[in-house]
Amino acid sequence: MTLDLALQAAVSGLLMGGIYALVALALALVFGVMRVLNFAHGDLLLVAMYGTVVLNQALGLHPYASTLLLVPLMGVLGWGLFAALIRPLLGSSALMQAQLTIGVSFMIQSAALMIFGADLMNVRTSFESSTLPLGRGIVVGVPLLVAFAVSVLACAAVAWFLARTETGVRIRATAQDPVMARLCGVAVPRLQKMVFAASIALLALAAGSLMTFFHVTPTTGVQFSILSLLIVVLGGLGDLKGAFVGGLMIGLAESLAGAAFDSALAPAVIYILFALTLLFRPRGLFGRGSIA
Amino acid sequence: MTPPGRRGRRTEAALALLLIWCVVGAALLGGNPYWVSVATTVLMWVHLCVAWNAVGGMVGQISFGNAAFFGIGAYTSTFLAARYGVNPWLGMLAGGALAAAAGWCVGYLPFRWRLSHLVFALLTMAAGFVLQFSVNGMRALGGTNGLYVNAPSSLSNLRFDHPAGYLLTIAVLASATLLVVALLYQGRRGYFWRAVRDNEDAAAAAGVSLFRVKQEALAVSAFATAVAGTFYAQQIGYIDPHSVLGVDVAIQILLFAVVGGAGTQLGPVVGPLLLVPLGEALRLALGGGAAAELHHFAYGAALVAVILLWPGGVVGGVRRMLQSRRPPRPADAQGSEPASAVVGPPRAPTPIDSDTLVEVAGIGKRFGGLQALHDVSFTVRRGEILGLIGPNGAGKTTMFSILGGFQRPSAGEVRYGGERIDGLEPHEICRRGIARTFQITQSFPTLTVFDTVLTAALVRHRMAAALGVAQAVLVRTGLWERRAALCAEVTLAEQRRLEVARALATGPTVLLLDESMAGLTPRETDAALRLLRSLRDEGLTIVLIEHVMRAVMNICDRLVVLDAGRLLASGTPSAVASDPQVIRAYLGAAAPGR
Amino acid sequence: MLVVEDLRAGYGNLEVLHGVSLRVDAGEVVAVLGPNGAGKSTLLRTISGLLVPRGGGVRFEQRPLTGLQTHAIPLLGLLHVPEARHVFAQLTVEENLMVGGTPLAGSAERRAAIDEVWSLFPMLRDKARAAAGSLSGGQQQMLAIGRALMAKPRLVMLDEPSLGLAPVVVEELYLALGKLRRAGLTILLVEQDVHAALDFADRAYVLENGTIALEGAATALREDRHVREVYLGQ
Repeated sequence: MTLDLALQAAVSGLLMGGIYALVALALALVFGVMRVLNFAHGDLLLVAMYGTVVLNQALGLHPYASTLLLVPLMGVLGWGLFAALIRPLLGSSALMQAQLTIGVSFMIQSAALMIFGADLMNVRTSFESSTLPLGRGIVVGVPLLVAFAVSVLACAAVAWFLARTETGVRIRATAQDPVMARLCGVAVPRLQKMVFAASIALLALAAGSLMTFFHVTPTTGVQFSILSLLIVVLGGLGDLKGAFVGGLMIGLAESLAGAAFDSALAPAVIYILFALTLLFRPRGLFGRGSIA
Repeated sequence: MTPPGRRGRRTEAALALLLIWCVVGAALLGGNPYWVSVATTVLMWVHLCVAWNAVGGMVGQISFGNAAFFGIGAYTSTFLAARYGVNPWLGMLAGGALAAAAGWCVGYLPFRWRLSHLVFALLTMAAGFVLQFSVNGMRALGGTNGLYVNAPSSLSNLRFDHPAGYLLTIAVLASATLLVVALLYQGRRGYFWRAVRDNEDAAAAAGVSLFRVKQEALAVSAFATAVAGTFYAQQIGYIDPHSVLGVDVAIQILLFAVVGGAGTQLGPVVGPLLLVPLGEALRLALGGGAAAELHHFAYGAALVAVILLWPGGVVGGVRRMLQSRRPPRPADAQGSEPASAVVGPPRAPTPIDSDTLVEVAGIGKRFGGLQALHDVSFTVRRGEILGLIGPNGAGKTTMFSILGGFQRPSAGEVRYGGERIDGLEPHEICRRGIARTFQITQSFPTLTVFDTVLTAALVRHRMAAALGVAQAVLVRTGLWERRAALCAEVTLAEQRRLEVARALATGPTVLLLDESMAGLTPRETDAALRLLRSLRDEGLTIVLIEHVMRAVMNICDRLVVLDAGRLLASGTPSAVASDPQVIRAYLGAAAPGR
Repeated sequence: MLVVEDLRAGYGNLEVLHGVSLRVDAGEVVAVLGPNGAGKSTLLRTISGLLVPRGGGVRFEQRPLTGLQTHAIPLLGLLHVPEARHVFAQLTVEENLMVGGTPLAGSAERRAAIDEVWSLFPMLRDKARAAAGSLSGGQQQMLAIGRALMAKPRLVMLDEPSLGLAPVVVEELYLALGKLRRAGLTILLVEQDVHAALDFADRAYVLENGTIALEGAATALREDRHVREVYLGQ
């Protein structure tokens, strides 16, 4: 592999990693505040991705425009899902949560298959093939670059919100010690519902920018579910900074491994890294997460 | 005397076997080759679920990666047959052995280090993926193109012209797996399996080696799953990484088993029996095409429904319905009068001569920045009742955890009969003769009182002798009348006695009691004290942590007082109670004129 | 102000409180004493809503508390500072106080309340931006109390505030509590340190095995050798 090829892979991988980071951040946020590990997280992303396709085909909406519509819609969906899916899981064992959300994942995946069929679907946009040269022969697709920017901005916005607003401080307090937060008068159940809805709304943001250059099939959901789970474990369960950096790292590793090895073998590298982290760094690579 | 509940378990296994052969019968009588192949599919899933259930349901170590074993079986036999002309039946055995070895490797670190169940599940999932992607990249195994099975039809080639051949083969294989698992479950191992599933700490304290139990079950599961892999390869004639190693396969196995009822003998048979034909029926009813995916949707919905509404799956739910209808049964008719040939309180095999039984020397323990114990030394003399007391946060529980092997000291050592025991595993300490009880409320929620004590007795004895020991201990602790009750159903005082009974069944020389008087009424406390005194009079040495001071003062020969991790005082109760340092530790300093 | 009637509570199979009754009147400092396992912390946790009682009831300013969610109770003016302080370790001191001010109406009120806490605990103001987890035990205890004060409570329940603190720090702590008492705060105090508690309180109850074994004026109990018997089991 030449240096130029490596650099190209690194750049595209890092950009894709930004989107992974946003998706993983949403999952880490839910885990941090509610201690629920949602194995259907990627399938909820899938719902938003198909939503983008539908809005495009039915109303001719550009993915960026449909994002504006989908973010509140998904937020409402998240609000509703909390009662049906998340509240029953609060306090139960991780494996119960896993089994329940795996069942939900099955349901979403097969519903998608039934409604949309197994073929790839994507959204055509005017700028989908435009690229930006970065020098040294490295070229990045504009949609990917925009998606990266949107994702990183979204993550920054979340970080700002948590650090600087009163609600954000309450969310962080609840994540650290929900019992004590209650004793301080924080309405924890409502806060949890709000955080979950927000995390689903974030997925809509990721979906919209993904659909400008990515495709969707019913199995995309499972792929993202597993990927975001991987990232969150690597970054440390519940640690948001870890999830962000983990997302970038995974994007990078995935891309580099794909360029370096036979592409069939490349994904194995990620899972080996995952297994090693589980065994030797249960608090995540940065040591700040809860123990798995 | 036979173990209580054995008849029920045997019936359940027989019923499961019967169901398998009913499926065969119904399909053959129907004559339609389509239904024969559906029946074959059902039975293959039954086989896979029974194998999964051994480790995932019965021992409680849920696996997301059994597809890896399935694939190992399929690929091993197919590869050996194609490359070296090895007979598929031999290839099946080779695949099974390889899968068992792989299982042992995957389980080694998580079981050794007692990592959480979630970590184990995720590791099995990762192992499945790594294997799948590795095979994707291996040209020798056909890569993503897969491998074909080319062999003329014959029994020795495991290939048949008529689908009934496959049906009968898988029926035999599934029955064999069911029987093997049933035999293990109904014997000694089954008690250990259930104990480990219900409460690993209590099982370890009773002398059960967690590592061995889990690894054995995983090996059995892996072997059996691989056997099914070979069968699948021979039946379909073609395998590729996605279809045999994919995570979908692994999840579906789990799904069927959980919907049927994980942890039961019938559950893994009922699950596929209900869901596979349902899926087929849906597919037929809706024609082909995308609408056919409804059956996957139904599977997902079934799993969600079971987890939310019907824990224990179909079999668990049916059992609950049946039990609520039946009036509460009196104790098992078998041996309702305790047999007179009763074995005395069992003793540990290692005889210790000296008067000092346990020696704690300079024990220190740090947790991160916190020094929980600092330079604590004391001895436990043979035949005494020693009380370990002290205010909140003094480090008593930490000391107990170290004595029982649940924690390692940061400094110092613990000797038992001259041998160093700090750093040993809990079950090893138990086997040397130190037994501990726990404060927690339900030792083994799904086990009966009898089974709990029997499990502990089985650590040291074979079934026949263990039954006698269990009976003797139950009579001794006054729990014989309650032997058929579930641990979850007994009163608090009975639970405390059950903890003592469980510890006694391991034949200890030293008993560590953790806050066994908390919450007892004065009368119950007196009864407990009488029991302890009589145990001591028979030669047992007892160390107890206690907050109920009246009990402590009443029964202890000597006291050791800890405060903020240090030894404050030791001596007779009256001496300790009038020690001004002890008084200050409990009541605070009387500062003059604040 | 606070009336507890025949309260029963416990965990799972274990009933810890077997019918406890006590009262705290406005402006008083009442201590609850008793050996480990007697149920002191359980009592406070049941009053503040963390634990659901199995029998009996609690009334705060005539209002029954049963059935209320935990987070509703601070809004009524009843605050619980639990054992081991439980500061939000990764939040700053100021952020901890901010969370404590959740029941207040708005940011302006919270700002004003924070300033009041600074004047009561000046050493905390110096550490406003420090992570709460980096504070010493005594400072964390001050922070926990300050956080509770943010909600403008009329009654504060303190669970073993002196646990793990050096005697000098305990003295400072009680000086601060004295200031609060003079300002009109009602206090229900659970203490391990019997002498410190009896020196500070007006009245005291002694809990043993889930029931009230002794009660009376603090001065009377200080001399009572029954207290010692309860603790040392003789």
